[in-house]
Amino acid sequence: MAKQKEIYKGKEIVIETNEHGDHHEHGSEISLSIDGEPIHVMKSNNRYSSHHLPYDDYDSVLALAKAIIDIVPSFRQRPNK
Amino acid sequence: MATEEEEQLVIRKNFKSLEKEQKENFIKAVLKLKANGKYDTYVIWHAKAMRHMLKRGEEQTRRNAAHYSPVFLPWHRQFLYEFERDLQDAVEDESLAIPYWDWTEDASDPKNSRIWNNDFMGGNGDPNDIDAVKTGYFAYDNSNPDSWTTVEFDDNGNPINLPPEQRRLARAFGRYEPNIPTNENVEYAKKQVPYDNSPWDNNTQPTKSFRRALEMPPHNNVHRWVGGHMITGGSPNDPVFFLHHCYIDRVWAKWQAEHEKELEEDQEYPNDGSITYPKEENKRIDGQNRKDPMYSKNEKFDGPTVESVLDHRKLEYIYDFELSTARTAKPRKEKNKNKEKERIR
Repeated sequence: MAKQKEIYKGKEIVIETNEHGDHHEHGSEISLSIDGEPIHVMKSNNRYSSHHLPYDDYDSVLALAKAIIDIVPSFRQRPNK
Repeated sequence: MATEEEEQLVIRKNFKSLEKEQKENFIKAVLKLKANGKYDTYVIWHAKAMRHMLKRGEEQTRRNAAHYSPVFLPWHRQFLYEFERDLQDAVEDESLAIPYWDWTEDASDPKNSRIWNNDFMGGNGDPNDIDAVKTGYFAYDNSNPDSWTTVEFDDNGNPINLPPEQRRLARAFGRYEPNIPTNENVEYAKKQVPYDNSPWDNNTQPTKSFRRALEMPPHNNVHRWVGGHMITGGSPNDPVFFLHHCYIDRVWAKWQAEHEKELEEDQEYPNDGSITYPKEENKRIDGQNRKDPMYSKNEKFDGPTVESVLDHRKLEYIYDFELSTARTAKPRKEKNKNKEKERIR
């Protein structure tokens, strides 16, 4: 498993991907968490989206995670851990 | 005069054509529904449907119980219908109708649409205060315990317990999508036939599916243009959701009317049993086929069938374009009073 960590706007993003580089929903071969909270990810047409931001999609899981932090009000309004 | 049949129906109109009292009544009903707790059940229902993914194996799809799939339009029709009935009950007015926002009329200057007036939906969020809406009926006011707050969700779609000051309605006009769809965009969608096509999701070609051409980009782009809560799975937190989807439902009703004579039944909505997983032709996709019950507030596929909502007149409402004359039908409440008088006589 490859693990990527990044602090963005005070929140910790963790992305775990399997060795083959395939991306699937979290719980299988890719997982995303923000400040330890698991975040749903799905892939379609080589783009990533989540039911947290269902009307848009992004070119990477990291871009999706940053968008969730930037956009989803419950993440924005919550103080950093 | 409106026909006898029309007098029995709720008439959904452009919000711009509402009288002052009708607008006030709609807002009053929404606020009452919020106060009695029913409003939030719709936010949760939508968020749960969004999280109920309908994929098999390695299929790369965004299809869920209410979006990116054929049931997108029927499911939201039922969603609005139940909401409208609860609004009517809240203010004891059977004639109350959800108004629609024809955003194509405002596409050249959507930020200054009358929909955002303080006496209706209120204005944009404050970019210096995490996009919180500060004007109108849906602004949070910490001195008023009854002021508007949102429902926020964990990853499973369960509401999370946050203090009210962290549950303020948010909007960010134009930040995530610069343009509102135009009339040309909607007309393009309306030209597409049949209703939908395989693989029954976001990957369906828009030239082969009215549903797909209307859902994305036009429908999605309005959510994205409003921003804030409208761009999340909890989008009904913003009451403008219902006016947006009322217009989407109206476009579907117009598509049905305009193509009625030329289309076979399975082109208006696929025949029962034909909506299956692309690589498993015997495996029906839950809640999508004509005879299937749709995803309900019970978080199961036990709601009304898709078929039961294909003709909106059976749900006892029509749109303004369907009136036989420009004259408005009598409010149902008034009609009921008249019937009562007749019975007494």
